[in-house]
Amino acid sequence: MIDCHYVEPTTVDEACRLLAEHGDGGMVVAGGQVLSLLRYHGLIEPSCLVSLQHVAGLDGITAEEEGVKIGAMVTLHRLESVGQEHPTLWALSEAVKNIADRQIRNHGTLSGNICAAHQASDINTVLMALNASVKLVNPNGERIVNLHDFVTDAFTTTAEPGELLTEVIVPHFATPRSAAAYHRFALRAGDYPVVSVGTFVSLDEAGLCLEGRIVLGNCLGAPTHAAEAEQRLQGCNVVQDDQSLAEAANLAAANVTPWDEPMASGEYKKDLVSVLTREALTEAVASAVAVK
Amino acid sequence: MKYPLSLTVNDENYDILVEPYHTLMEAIRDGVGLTGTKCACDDGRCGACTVLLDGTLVKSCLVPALQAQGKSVLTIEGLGTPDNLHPLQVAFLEHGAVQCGYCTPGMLLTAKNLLDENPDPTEEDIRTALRGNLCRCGVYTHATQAILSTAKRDTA
Ligand SMILES: Cc1cc2nc3c(=O)[nH]c(=O)nc-3n(C[C@H](O)[C@H](O)[C@H](O)COP(=O)(O)OP(=O)(O)OC[C@H]3O[C@@H](n4cnc5c(N)ncnc54)[C@H](O)[C@@H]3O)c2cc1C
Repeated sequence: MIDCHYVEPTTVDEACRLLAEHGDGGMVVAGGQVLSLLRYHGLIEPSCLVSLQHVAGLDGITAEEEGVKIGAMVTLHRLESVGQEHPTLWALSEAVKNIADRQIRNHGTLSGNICAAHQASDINTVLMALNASVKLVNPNGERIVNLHDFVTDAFTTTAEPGELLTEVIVPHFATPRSAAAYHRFALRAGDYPVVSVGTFVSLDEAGLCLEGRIVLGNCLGAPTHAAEAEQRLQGCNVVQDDQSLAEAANLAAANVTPWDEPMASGEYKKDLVSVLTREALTEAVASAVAVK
Repeated sequence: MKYPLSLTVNDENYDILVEPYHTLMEAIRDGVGLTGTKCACDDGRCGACTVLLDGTLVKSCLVPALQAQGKSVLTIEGLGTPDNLHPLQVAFLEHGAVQCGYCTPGMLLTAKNLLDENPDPTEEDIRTALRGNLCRCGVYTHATQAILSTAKRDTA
């Protein structure tokens, strides 16, 4: 076993520099809950753990011009109530409440969940439905990347070595009558979802759908947009014609080939996609209509 | 490479050495020598290793030991003593909420955390709180009643 070091930088710059110095052997530790699992299963052998615990400025939640910005080290437990203060994040709070259990949510962080890039991550699925972006900082600068282009496959992100995710940006809704919803199905409470669906709709005054988003979790390696179904919603009066929601849900299911799992075949997951999409769309539309 | 770790466990200070990848559970059991914190699944599912870290409920098998630097930990050994049991421990005995007993330490710390936050929980609140503590003997009903009775006694 190789010698492993542990460092506790206090600034983002210092953390990036340390990560870059250690190249592939450097590993970020946020809550560290995945680290323990990977090490236990003998899957990793880092040469240096770079803890974010004492890095200043990574735990804020602020509404700014571009959207609501959430710091990398915000815990999942804090996210449970964030929707009360920031209505844009309401669906995120609902999604987080069903993750694992209180202990894991107390210590797990937003960036840890995103960067672990688990194919069934509730956070990545709902954040993609909210069209979120992430801010990545490296020793030479920073870039903002849409989450969809950051989490690209199971356990895979496009982070470069030495790059740190410092915040998540959830854009404000462009029109007032907008809402998101998130539905998941798990075999037991506390399990990762077998399938989950995040939806977003924005409506005009008459109920016409200006934009619809449908993101499917745990069907492919990364959460994925149901593009045809999203198009189906565009321009429909989803308030008067709830058939359009059912059709979109069926399209979402017809156009995805989910991976088989021991406890849930791809065919079974397709059925779940249809049901959960319809439920999540119905809820999003009802919430959008209820916006005063 | 081993690093010094100073932490307080049940109000006593300890200075031990740990590897960066050691978990808080390993630090408590092997470094400090308190084995009431149980290891069962070792991958964060079962909750037998639950402790309070600076008052926050965590699964110690998922927390890197060095993140506990300078912090204070409450384990089952600090909840009550054989001569002076915590009211929750008394209630667990009275309600027969223990079979093999392996999940009990974690469950008691979860119960303590719940009652600290919410002195008057409903049965539903208790079930939700216990979600991260698995019991293969199936004492959930008895444990729920034990916690409910402790809360009633305290709020009476
Ligand atoms: C039993 C169990 C059940 C779970 N169920 C669910 C579930 O149902 N749904 C769900 O969504 N999640 C679930 N999780 C995942 C849980 O949410 C994760 O443990 C947690 O999100 C990881 O957060 P962390 O802060 O501990 O990450 P860490 O372990 O610290 O980090 C995870 C990974 O991301 C990298 N990383 C972390 N932060 C950064 C950063 N800022 N920049 C760059 N890289 C970074 C790390 O290097 C590491 O590779 C479950 C976990 C367990 C143990």
